[in-house]
Amino acid sequence: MATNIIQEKAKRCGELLARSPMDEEIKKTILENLGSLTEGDLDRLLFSLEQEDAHLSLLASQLSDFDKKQEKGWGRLAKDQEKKARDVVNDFSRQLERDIQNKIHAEMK
Amino acid sequence: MREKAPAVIKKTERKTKEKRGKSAKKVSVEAAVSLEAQETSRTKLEETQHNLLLMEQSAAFYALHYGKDDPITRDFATARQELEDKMREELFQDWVKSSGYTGSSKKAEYPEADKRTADNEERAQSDVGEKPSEVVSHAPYTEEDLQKLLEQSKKPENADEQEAVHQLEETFQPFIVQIQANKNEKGGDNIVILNAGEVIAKRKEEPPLSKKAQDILRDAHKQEEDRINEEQDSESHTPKTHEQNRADELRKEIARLAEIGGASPEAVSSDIVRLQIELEKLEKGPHKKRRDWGWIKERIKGLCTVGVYEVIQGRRFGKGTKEVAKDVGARTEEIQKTTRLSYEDALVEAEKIQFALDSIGKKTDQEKTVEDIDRFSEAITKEKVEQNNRVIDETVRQAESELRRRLTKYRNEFGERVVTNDEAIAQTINNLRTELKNLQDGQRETDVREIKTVLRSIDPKYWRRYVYGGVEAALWAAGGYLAWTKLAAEKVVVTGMKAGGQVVENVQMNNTIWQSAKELLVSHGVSNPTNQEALQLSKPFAELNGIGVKVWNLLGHPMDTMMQQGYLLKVPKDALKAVLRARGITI
Repeated sequence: MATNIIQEKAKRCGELLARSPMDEEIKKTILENLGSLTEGDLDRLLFSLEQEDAHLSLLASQLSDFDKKQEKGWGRLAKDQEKKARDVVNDFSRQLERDIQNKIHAEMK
Repeated sequence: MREKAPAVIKKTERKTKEKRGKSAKKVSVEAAVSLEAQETSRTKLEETQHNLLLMEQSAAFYALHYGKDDPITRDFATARQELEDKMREELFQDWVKSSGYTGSSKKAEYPEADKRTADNEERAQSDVGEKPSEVVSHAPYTEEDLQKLLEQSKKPENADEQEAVHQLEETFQPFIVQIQANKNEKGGDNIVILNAGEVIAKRKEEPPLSKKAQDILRDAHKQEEDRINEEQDSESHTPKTHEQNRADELRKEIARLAEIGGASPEAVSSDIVRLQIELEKLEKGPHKKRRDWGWIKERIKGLCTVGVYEVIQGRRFGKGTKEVAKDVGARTEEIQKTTRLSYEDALVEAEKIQFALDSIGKKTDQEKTVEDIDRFSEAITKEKVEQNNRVIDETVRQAESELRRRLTKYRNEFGERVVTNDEAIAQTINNLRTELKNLQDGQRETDVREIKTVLRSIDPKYWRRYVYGGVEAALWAAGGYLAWTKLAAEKVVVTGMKAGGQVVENVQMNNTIWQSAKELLVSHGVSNPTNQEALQLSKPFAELNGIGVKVWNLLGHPMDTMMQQGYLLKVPKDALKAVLRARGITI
């Protein structure tokens, strides 16, 4: 029973190690030195990897949310800029129109 | 007794309510302030305790390697003692406030604390034989252990003893051992501190990992790794999906409409806009998905070094482009204007034309024709353009090679190396060429800021890194997203080192040797280098590079006060390793 648990732990540990964004050198060192690990070391390694996996998943989702919000923000800014530019051009053309009309009126008088 | 009128009663009730509301508000504000104060003092206490532990570890480390009388060991020990005294004094002052004690701090005996300790000891004696349920060691070396270690380190020829020293160093970090056999049933604080020897003994009690478990771990790792690789390969080699084919069709259609609409763009513009919106939607999906992992990986690197990696990357880009822009700006002085000449330039050109007319014998005003003047003016302009082209070609060539050199290590926010993106570089260089050509038309004067902006078009979102750096540092400070085990700490170190490209041979000086030393430590995973650590590294820096430092009585050339920004410094690797090891970071 206990052996099975350790084997399950070892399996999970191997999977998590492969998924971890940890540096390849560290992964290699761990795999090459499995012989010097104790069962306690396996527990500690598994604990760290589980923690890393859980927190990085959470972090990744938070960062993605942040990025999405940022993108939305940029999109909104671009729209605002466009609107502003349109308003300025409209104002300018209206002013121009008024000036021309005034000029025509003045000449007619 | 006359009854109060309802209006008066209402008024009184309202006043009472208001009073209650005010006092409730006051209480809640006071409670918030009190909670905040408690939180602040708790954080402060934790920080002090952490610093004490670090200093203790550093002192033990130096004592182990260089002996108890080493000045650095003594410095750490003294600093630790000072910090502890300060902490004790602060605690005493708090206690004075709460208890009303009026005597001297030296005489204060903390009667309650002493009583508690005595009770605990008594209880411990009566509970002899009971094992604690949880054991935590942060391995502060006892005098006895230190002596043993010192003796061991004096006899390096014995392999077993060396192994013992190695194991002690390995267990230097905080270490939790769970004793399954004796779960705590009585409750209470069962966390005890073990010395290093006991920690090693405890680890020796644990059964080694069986051969079968090792094989299972390796196999599982291999299988998962293969699966991930396959996934990545299939992502990059998948045949075109329906969406991608549709996107290609849309692109072709847009190009066709644009061609048709050349003469009357208003007739096709609404169709183009509609197709473009559809195309944008299609492009966003898979493209973003493909980049997500690289993006998250980069963010994680930033987080692991408390946002420093982000800022370093941002700075690397900002500084690189700024320096290149400066060089380009200096070279643009050689570009001669061909139109919209200034008064001085026009005079020079007029003189040249005059000289040319003189040389062909047309000295009087009657002899000088407009055609001649135009011909010479055109020849001068042509010569200027040719010379300008040479200057622009040379400037652009140099700018490109400088950009590539300075941004070698820079990665954009998706973790891609921008210097390998030839398309982006070519685009940037084209923009730069156009900008420089505009200068010769005399449309505007040389502006380094403009050139900088053009150069930064290579990664226009570069400055977002500063934002992310701050967000990540805030996330970090807010709660700590990673389990800070020894393994995670090592990961950070290696990630930090990779970011800087392993242990570097040379670094460019940034402002001062002191600052460069601190930045070097940061790039190797020390998130908050202390002045003591910067000093430990700065002196060897100066000595190795033969730099004179007056305050340290170091002779050399150049003097530290006369050094150029960007001066290439050799890295004192041994000193760097010593500082890193004191932090528990191994290279």
